[in-house]
Amino acid sequence: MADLGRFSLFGALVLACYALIAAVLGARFRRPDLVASARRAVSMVALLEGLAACVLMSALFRRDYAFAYVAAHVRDAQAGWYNLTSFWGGMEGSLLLWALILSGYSLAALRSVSQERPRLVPGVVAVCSAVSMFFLLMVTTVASPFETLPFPPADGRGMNPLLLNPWMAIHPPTLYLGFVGMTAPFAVVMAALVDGAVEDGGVLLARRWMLWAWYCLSMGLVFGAKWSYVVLGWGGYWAWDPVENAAFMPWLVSTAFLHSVMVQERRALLGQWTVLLVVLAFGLSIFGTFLTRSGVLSSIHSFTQSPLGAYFLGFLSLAMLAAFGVVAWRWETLRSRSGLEAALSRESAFLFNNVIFVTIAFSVFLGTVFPVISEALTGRRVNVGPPFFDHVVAPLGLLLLLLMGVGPLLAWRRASAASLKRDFLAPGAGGVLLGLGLLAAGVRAPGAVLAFALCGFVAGTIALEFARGIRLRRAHGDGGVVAAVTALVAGNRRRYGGYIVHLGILLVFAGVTGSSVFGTQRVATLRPGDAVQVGHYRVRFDGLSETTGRGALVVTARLRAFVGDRDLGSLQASRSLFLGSTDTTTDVALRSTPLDDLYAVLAGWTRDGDATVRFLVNPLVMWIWAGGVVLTAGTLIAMLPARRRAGVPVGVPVEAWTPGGP
Amino acid sequence: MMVGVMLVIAAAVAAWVLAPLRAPKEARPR
Repeated sequence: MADLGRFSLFGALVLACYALIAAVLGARFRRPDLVASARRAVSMVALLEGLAACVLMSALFRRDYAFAYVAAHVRDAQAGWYNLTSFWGGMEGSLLLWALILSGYSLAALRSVSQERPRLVPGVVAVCSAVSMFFLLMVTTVASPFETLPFPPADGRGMNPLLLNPWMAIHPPTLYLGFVGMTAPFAVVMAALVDGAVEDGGVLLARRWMLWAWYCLSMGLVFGAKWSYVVLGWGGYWAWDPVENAAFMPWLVSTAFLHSVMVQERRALLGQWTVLLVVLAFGLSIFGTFLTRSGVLSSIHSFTQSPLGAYFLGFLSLAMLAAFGVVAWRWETLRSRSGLEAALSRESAFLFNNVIFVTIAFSVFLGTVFPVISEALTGRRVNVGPPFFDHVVAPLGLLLLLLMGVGPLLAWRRASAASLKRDFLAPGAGGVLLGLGLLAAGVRAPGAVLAFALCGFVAGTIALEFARGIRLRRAHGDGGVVAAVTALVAGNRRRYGGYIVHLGILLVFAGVTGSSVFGTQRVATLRPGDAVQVGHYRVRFDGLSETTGRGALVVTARLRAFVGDRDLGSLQASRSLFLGSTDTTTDVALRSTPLDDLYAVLAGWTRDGDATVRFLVNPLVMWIWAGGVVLTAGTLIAMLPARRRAGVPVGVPVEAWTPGGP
Repeated sequence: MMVGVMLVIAAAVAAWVLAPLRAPKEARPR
């Protein structure tokens, strides 16, 4: 069976090379038959990769330990469902998944491009095939999932037990959908630039693909945070770990793109910048895969031990060189014909927003690669810890929050003093009142007061926009409030979907602020029957219990939580010790409410039955996950195809446009 | 057996991918 897998991947590699060459020749010599053949080759690459994936999947589910990959990532005691996640649990499998997802995106992008801009088809085939070739080269040479063992072991090593969790099962594929998704807009933009006949550099066509990739990346980050929170047992959800940063950087750049592309669409400005963001987002997605897959992060020496890192770096350099070369070639045609008309306008707010996003991305990049650079230059590894990231990102994040409220209400071209007063008085007053209220309630953290006041302000601006739109709709006879809201959102899905996404981000902001500023924690060693006060909770320890199962000894601390005299029920914090290895996992005791989370981790125990438990009260964490749900709703609404072209057409006088109007 | 399967797959894939090139000129996709 391994032969069939190897054959499929090798065949896919040959076909990807063929697709690239046929597409280039087809475009160069105007041979539609060659382009059609190249497109068929792309479909066959997908088919053969799918076949290879089926071979690997079947080996994983059959626990065929003759496959080196299966022996390393599956074991008899592992629950069957997790054999599926073993597919992407290791490097070889995850690279195959990368290639497979890329083929899916290539087919989807080609389908849409051939309907909307058929002349871009050869370019999209060429770029997608070139990227495919690299990943196929990896899985056929240095990282083959089909290596076989001459003497198969009786049992496999299995995955790291920390990865055996439902959140970890969906986190990597979601993240990969985002990472790989950056290739589709990149391919469209490169094809448009090389073709030269698409005036905006293809960014408008690329927008939808970027939005989808951005959404997947967002959810990948949320799922990863949730996994970190419930599985790692350290009490938090974000640690500025390089692997997290690897996904955060393309997220920041693609968010910047989604804003600047609107300026390109409405005002034909920022064309060069927007194209650069697409290239950068793609580059960072490859860089992120390189960071997590090359071993460069643990040490520069482990990086040099495997050729994979060098290949990745080579490919990344080559791709960026080619992409920036193409952008430089078309630089003048992308130049905007007009400029900003006023400092106080929607486009300047977007420009400012872009500068902040890219500054954050650059700071995160610097902080992430600093240990590698310092080790390469001085031989000593200097790590940049979370305080660096917190100090740089938090103030910039607050600025972004302010812009999130201001930007959408500013008029295009030029905002008048009267419109500023009309739009910002009520939400601004609301934000100030909220801040004063928090101060009066005894909140003494200035950063948090500012963050919540800004959240209040932004929520106010969004509410105002909806209220105005609803009023207008009702004035036009759209009946009740529900009917008016439905008509409003359906009439301009991108605009109101965007507001809903902003609302989701606000919830995440509020959750992050609350939990990082107002959290409390306490570590206590308890005898059965002892109770401890944590925040407004009293937690009683009722004793330890031990069970065995799935190759692990599970020690559980039984806890019961109270607020005053009210019994909130029992909680269980446990730790699993895997037999025959040093692996341990934690199962945290968690009681979530919209106000706060009571979080307990079993840190240690004695033979006498005493337990050391780490308790945390994390305020508002639930709002982070709720933010993810709201963000999903907003993105789905924004992605649904509009019935008519939304928004203000270029050339409409500023005052003729009513905010919230259809 | 496996070699036979692979050969059949290779032949089928190649035939399908190259089919547009073998079509008579006037029937080729535009």
